[in-house]
Amino acid sequence: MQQQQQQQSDESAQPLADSPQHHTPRRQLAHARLPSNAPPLNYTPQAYQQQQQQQQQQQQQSYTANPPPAFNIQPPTNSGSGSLPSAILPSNAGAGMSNVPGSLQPGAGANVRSSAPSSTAPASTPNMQPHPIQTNSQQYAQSSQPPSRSNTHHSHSRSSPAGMDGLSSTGQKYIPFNQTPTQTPISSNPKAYNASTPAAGTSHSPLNLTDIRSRTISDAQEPAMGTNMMFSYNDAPTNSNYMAPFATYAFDWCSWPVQGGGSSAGKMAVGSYLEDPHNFIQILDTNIVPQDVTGPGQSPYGLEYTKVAEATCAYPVTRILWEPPSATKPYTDLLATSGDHLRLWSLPGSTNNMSSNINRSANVNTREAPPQKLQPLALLSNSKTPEHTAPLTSLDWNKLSPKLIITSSIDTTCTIWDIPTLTAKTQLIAHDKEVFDVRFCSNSVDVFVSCGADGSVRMFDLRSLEHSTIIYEPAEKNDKCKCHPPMISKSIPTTDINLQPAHQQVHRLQNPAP
Amino acid sequence: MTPTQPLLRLAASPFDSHMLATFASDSNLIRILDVRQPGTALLELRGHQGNLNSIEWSPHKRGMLASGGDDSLVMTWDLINQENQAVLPSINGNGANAGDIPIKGPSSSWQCEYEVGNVSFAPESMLTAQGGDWLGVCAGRGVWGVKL
Repeated sequence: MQQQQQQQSDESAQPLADSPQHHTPRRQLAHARLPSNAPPLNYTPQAYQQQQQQQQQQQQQSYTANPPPAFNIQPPTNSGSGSLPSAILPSNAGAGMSNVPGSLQPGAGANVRSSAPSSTAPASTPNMQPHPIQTNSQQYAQSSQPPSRSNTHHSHSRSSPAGMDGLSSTGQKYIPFNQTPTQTPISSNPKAYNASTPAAGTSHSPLNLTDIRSRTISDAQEPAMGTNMMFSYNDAPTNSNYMAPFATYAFDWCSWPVQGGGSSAGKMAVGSYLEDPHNFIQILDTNIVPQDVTGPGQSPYGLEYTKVAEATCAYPVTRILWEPPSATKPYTDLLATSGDHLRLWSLPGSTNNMSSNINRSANVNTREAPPQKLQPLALLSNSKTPEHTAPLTSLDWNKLSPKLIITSSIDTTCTIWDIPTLTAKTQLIAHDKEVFDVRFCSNSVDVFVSCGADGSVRMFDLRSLEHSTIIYEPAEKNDKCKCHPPMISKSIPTTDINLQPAHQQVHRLQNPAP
Repeated sequence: MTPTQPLLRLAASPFDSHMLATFASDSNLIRILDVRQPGTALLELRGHQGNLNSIEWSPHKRGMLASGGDDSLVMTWDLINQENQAVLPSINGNGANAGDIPIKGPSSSWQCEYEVGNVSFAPESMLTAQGGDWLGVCAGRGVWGVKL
């Protein structure tokens, strides 16, 4: 038996040895995402292009971004055959390289933009750095060719005539980009820009814009840089968004109702997803602030964000969750993350946050009292050698019984944890390949579903783990299944999905001494 | 046949314990599953142009979903109200390709500036008491609060 267990643990160690190459699709996704999200240091030429495209995007949207963004309803009448189909048809995506924001314009973008002119200068931004704005607007008044420049730009990024709405504002915003170099050591650009129309045209070519942007972004790294209005605009928090110093991925808005009619809209937890072994967790508190309603349907309230706590961890956070609401207490300070392990965190006492909230509405961007350290409460690992545990891809916290957490792993298993005792209750091999996500079914402490690299969704019941139900599986198998028409419930015996080892593991876990 | 598409994320409806939503990696369509009818998808949600990264059910409104993807779009989906959706082009003359799975479009969308990593619904607070649901959106390096 001992030998068997040994073998067992060797088997479970197998995926671990592979883990560096064993990228989950999410990791690959993250790779793909990184160029546009990554900190400036990681910029590649492609990232420049993407940034530049996003820049164009922001020119159309940065003003809309400041009042809290509102969802744009797409009534069937508005999205008739004219606009929406082209946004939805995959055939169009190919032409737009799938990530080019411009290609999305006929769909939501067009509608968003149409509401853009209604929202004028944001309330918070001018307060940040009023000086550069004045400078820019003066120089804008002296300049005589904004429309033609704007047209050059539009021919690149806009496909919809609705873009004409934004012409003037786009032109305005372009000035600061080219004015920025006048305040930085680069002097050739502004001259070319002012010299003649053709030169102005070329100065707005994507390449040139990219150059400026890349410089400015690296400049923005230095906190003292006060002249980069447009870029600090993009990277700094406004009254409707928060910018973290890292690429974010895991995110959870604490679902506990905010008690007592306070000005908070609830805390948020954010985790970074960086490939290097330096990752971050931040806790943000939100503050509801009134704002001018400048358009129909716009909320009279916006949000401000305060970083109240943070922590570092080595492995990227694949999922972060607050403890689910319970009737026994008014709020929670407990968080769980999946990544290298299941980790529990506690938010330190939040008494002094109130005072900082009161002060901060005047200066949103200044750093106040340093945020507290998020306290690591526990590290849960079902291996005796924690450094050799397979990465966890996700977790779910049972809403009925918050003492239960389930995790999924690339080692094909799911594990149910008992939080009060910090022990693994059950571990089972859930899939043939990596498990990417797992959730408890609502209103149950026993039933959970998982999905993974084998393309299947499976449902388990902790009361009878010898069976699982395949809820969905890859198309090839589906076709076979269609040979047996009325498929009411397909329960497969344990052996079919190799559950037997899971029981041994369960045994091993419950009796850790070999 | 196409190689097996890994299923990346899964979400269980808080209102209907038999309802699930899932999507595959490198895919822009969301499948709604009913655990009582294993084997096929109940519904396909189409509208995203880039790969999906996140799907969440609304904890407040039955049958409502929010999703985010690499197309920098956040979309909401209303599975209850048939009229509350965008008009979708018919894929072929015959409708859906395999299996005649009904297709549904988004009921609303919001264009973010970056690829959307995760979405999370706002809790009850003075904010939501003042007018409807809010959605937290995590994209690029930023976090946005978006009013639905």
